[in-house]
Amino acid sequence: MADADPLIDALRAGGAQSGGGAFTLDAARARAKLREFQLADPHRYILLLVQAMAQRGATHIEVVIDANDTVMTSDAAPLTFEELQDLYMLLFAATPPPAGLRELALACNAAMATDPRWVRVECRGPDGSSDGVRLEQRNDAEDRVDRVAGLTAGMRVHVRERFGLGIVRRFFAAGSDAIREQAVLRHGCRFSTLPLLLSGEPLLRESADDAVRAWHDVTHDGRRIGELGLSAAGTRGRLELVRHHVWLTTHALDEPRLVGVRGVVDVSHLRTDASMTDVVRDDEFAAVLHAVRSTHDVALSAACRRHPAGDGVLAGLVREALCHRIGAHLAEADAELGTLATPGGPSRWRFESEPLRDFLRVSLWSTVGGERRSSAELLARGPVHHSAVEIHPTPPEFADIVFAKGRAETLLRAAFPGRTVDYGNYVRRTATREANRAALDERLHSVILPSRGNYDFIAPFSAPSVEGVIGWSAAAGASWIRVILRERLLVQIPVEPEFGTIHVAVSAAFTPTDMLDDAMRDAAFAAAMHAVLVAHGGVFDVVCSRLLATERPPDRTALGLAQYVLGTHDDTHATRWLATVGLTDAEARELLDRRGRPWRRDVAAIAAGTIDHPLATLHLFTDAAGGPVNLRRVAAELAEGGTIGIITNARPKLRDPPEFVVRVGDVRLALLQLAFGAHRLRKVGRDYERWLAREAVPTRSMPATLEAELHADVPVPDPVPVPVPVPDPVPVHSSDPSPHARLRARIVAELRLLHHREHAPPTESYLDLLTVEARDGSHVARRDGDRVVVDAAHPIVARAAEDHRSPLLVGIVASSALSALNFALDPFTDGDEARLLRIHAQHLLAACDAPSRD
Amino acid sequence: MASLTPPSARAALAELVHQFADPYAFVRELVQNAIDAGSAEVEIDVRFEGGPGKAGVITVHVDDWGDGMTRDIIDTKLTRLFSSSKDGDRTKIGKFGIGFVSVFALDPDAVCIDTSRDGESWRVLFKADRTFELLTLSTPVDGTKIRVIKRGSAEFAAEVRARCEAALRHWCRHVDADIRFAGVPIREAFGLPDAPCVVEANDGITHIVVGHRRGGASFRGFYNTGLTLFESEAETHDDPLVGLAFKVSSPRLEHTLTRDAVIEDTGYHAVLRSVAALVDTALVERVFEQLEQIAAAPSAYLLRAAARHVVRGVPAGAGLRAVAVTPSGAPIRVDDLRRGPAGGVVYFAAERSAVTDALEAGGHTVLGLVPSDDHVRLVQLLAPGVTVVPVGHRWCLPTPADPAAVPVAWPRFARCLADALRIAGVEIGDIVAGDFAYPESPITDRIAITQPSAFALTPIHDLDVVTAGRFARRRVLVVNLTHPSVVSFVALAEREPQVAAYLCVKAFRLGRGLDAAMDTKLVEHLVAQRWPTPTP
Repeated sequence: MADADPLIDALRAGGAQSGGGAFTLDAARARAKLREFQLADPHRYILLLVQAMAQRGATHIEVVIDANDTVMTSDAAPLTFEELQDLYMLLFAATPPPAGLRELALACNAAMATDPRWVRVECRGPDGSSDGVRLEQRNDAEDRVDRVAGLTAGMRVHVRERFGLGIVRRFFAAGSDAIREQAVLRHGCRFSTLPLLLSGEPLLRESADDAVRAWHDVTHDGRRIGELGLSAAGTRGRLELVRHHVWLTTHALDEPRLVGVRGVVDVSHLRTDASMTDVVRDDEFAAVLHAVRSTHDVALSAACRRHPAGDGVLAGLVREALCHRIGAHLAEADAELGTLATPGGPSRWRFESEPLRDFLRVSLWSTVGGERRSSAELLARGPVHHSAVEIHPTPPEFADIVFAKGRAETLLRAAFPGRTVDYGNYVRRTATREANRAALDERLHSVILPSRGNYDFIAPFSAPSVEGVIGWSAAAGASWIRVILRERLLVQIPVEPEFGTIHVAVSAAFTPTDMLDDAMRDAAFAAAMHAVLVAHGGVFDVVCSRLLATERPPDRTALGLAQYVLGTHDDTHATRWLATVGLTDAEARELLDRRGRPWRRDVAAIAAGTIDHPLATLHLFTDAAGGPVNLRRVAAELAEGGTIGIITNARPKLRDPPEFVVRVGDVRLALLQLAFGAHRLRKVGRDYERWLAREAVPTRSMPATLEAELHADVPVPDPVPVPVPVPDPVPVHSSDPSPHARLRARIVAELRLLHHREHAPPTESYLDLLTVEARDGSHVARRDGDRVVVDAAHPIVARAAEDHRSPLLVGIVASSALSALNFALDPFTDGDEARLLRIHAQHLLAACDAPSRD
Repeated sequence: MASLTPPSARAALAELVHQFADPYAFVRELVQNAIDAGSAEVEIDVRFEGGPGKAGVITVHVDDWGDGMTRDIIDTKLTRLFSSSKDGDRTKIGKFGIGFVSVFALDPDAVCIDTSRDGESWRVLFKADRTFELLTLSTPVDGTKIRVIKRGSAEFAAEVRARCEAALRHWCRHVDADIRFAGVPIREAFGLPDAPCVVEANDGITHIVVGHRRGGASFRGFYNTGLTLFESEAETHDDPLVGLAFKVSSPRLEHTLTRDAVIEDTGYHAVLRSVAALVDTALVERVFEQLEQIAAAPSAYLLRAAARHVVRGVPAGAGLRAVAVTPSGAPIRVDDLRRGPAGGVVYFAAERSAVTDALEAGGHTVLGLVPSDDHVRLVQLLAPGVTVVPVGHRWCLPTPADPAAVPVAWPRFARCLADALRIAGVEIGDIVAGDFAYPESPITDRIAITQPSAFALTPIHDLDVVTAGRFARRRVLVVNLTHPSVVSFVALAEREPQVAAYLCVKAFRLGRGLDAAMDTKLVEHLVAQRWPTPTP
């Protein structure tokens, strides 16, 4: 059904006609209900009076409010006797009531709801020739309209308060906004352009927003109805609705394009709701909003001309409105051009139209290089390229890419709908590459290892087109390979050696990756890594040699050496390393097959003594009593043929075993099997239990390190909390003739060691300030000018200089020098020294354990 | 006074049709009329007959099962402006006699009312010009069925549907009657969904719910028989109910013609007094009751709620409620804080320790948590001028070192330490081994402290006193045996006790008088002790 008439006809036919008519009016009740319920606050009657007088042509209004009275006078056109007589009936007259009469009637009615003594409306014409008229209303009497002589020209409304507590309250509140009418008037007329005097003082007009710098006329049907501006502090748009100089309400402008709008609009011509405090949202109101939008474009356009750099009001949220307007105009342009428009291309002929031309000229955008660009400049180049990443310096090809991140990106898309292209990934990659290139240029790195590393062994190595250096330290730490390309550190690759800590710097004809943050895994890289493996094999040999000096290598190291030997035998070591540095298993195997495995050691031959290698005599094992055992010893036990007994680490020690038994875990058992064959090894677990019972050795607690090793072949941390003394980083030449220089070298070495342990001052630059010189002998060490002097004239310093090899005494003098450095140098704090004192105590304890030279 | 100008109902009607700013507010008026007619349910629907993009007919249906109307009511009330059958009836919401005419705000082509009462059945058919025809129905109608008929497109029908539903949900969601839109009930519980702490009072006439919203924002909602009269989040500084959310439904509340406000009459003020009374009694009790239940870890929400009440004076009845607990678990009551904490200080510690026990035993107030800003504010509202500080900022209490952990070298080390301290000008009566590592200890980083007597509760500012007055008892040096440096010093002391003591004294006196001269004196003393012969 497309028409309502058939439905209505059907409804009409659904019953028998029984009459009809139209609405009727109960006028008396109407007046009573309007009085009681029209206004939430009846004191708003005073605003209705302003509206009434304004509509009747008042050029000024004067209001006097005191404890007893509220009097409003103006030069408004007076009402006639008849109009006052019919004041309330005119509200519902068939013909529209004279201007202002409706508001006057409602005002008087509402004023009566405040329960005054009386309300009087007095009018007289300007010529003075006739008497005036007076309407008097009382709640306890009929309304009276009289002709009265002696009235002044114009209109006067007088509300007299009823005697009572209310008057007392008003008396004490006189002159302040505590009198409700006064507060209502001040608030309701703050946008009035009509001159208003309140108790002799002009009522000042307020601005809708002090942050607005320029106001623009809002016109509707060729008539100015208000003004509008853009607020730099503005967020949501606001429109103040004013009717006959009285503020009605604030209408929120929720459209994104109207962000920051502040407007005051006269809506006297619009229909109000029954409260007369709001306007009906009808087509007329929609027309007012349309006028507001049009003026908004004008205001935006003016702001664009004033701020071509996008500053001022355009730097705030109004920028958002501008972007939405640009986007809307461009969308319209595309729609108009239809198929003629090049998708994403410039619509140049449209750009000269107002106000888009002004909008487009503003430099709203920044490029990734930090240069400003206007929307017109971006459009002229076709699609708008943007990125959320900046890049400095900017390659020429990126000169027009807009930097837009987060909200800026949202705005860019709003301004150029369907015309944006995200170049973020491209710019990001380029920026990263350039940053990597700059960083690489600054990472100067020769084929050397950093001086701060405490290496037990450093050795250069080389291969065709490969040059490197490898350093090894027994201490646990992070191991790495530094890949050097043309004297620059290209990348540092972490590795996990079986024993100790390995640091490698290796240079070759590496090919950097596209991002300049790594080396390509190519033949040059593979060759370099092979050379590293070879060098590592050399480290193994040296470490074995050096450990011969110790009765027994540390647990961690011994286990690592065993693992290394096993791993090099079956390639697990090399393939794991090569996988760690990024070669596939196939690449690793191809590399090993092609270049060989020179790091592989023949353990059987070493154990048999046919190859001379320190591994043979290294005490990697223990016997049943916990005594050290090496491969050579095992070989000797097997020399006569037969087998040797093995027992797991977890078993208790046996003081006096009837035969030779070696304690092993999984790794060391595998090493023995590799060296001698599994058939030469015999498990003696049951016999061992019997031997234990026979020996009846009471259970004793074992040292922690042995306990740990007995349970598994796993690395255990070095049990000694103090650092092992390390060789002096600065060599001391015995031929040095100066005791002072020798002492200084010892002190510096000691302090440098502390520095390396704690990574705290004193650094080398501090140590350079340290001298050993003879002064007055009053202090061991103290500041002297810009130096810290260890006073050789002090007897204790003199003794230390004479016997500089006494670690304890030198250590004490070094501690004194350390304190003097702390006293002298601001960057060197008490906290630093406190930490170093702890390290120093550990170091001195280690020195005590060293062979005594004291 | 006789009138010269006859009033025109037509002119009045023209004004009253647009009495509401929202033209869809008419659904509220029709629902209100249905409720006043005693209907327990009201069914609203919007239907469209026609095709997409074409003109069709939109019909808004409002059906109730209430008392209906007789011809007399139709003539003298429904179609007579400002005349209402509900005048003076407090049980009815409506009273103006003009609400119905708002159905013409949409400029309908027709409005059809079918109604039955007292054996009469009528159809009132209003035309576009708002005149009406009265028809007798042969079949009675259960209640009153209203159809608002208007030509329009499917798109417009969708808008009408959406706006009718929105108007219903705003104005009618708390109505007791079963209100359905397109068959779906729209009723929502009369509560404050964003307010976890709420109290309620309902005497059968006035129904009040009041509580605290999560964000602390104000809300006030006024309803009559559940029908929304006025809702606002506006706040005024001097409003005694600011910071609270409440809803009140009462027949004592009158609204303005346009419902943009509630008439501020005696009924309104009486209702507000009831709300305020409920706030000062049940709500306060509920807030502090809930706060007490989680006193060990109070929520910011409840702390703010409590502060909102306390800022207007400490509520009666809350004095015995706990607002926090001590580290040992004892309650800290409102009255405890109001009486004023000892020394004007409230301490806090996240964990119980010997020092918190000692402070509690000493009558100090100690909060067993790290208080939030909200907690501090509440405490300071209850105890104005009080300072809230961590225990560790004021007090420490080391404990004796575990005897099993005291190294063998300790006695030798302590003797050497005493000698070295004497050289450094420190007058100490005794040296003992202590453990500084207790929860939230402020002295774990200290090598040693001095105390008037060992292991007593000691103010933080009193830890570095190293000289005694002429007649004063010498202090005790407590060495932190758990400090890594002390561990190293004691380890060294096994071999070189004098050297260890030298390093330890330096560490102790760093920043507290150690200079080159003192260091030299210490070195000289050390060398003299360590190498008593002329040549070391």
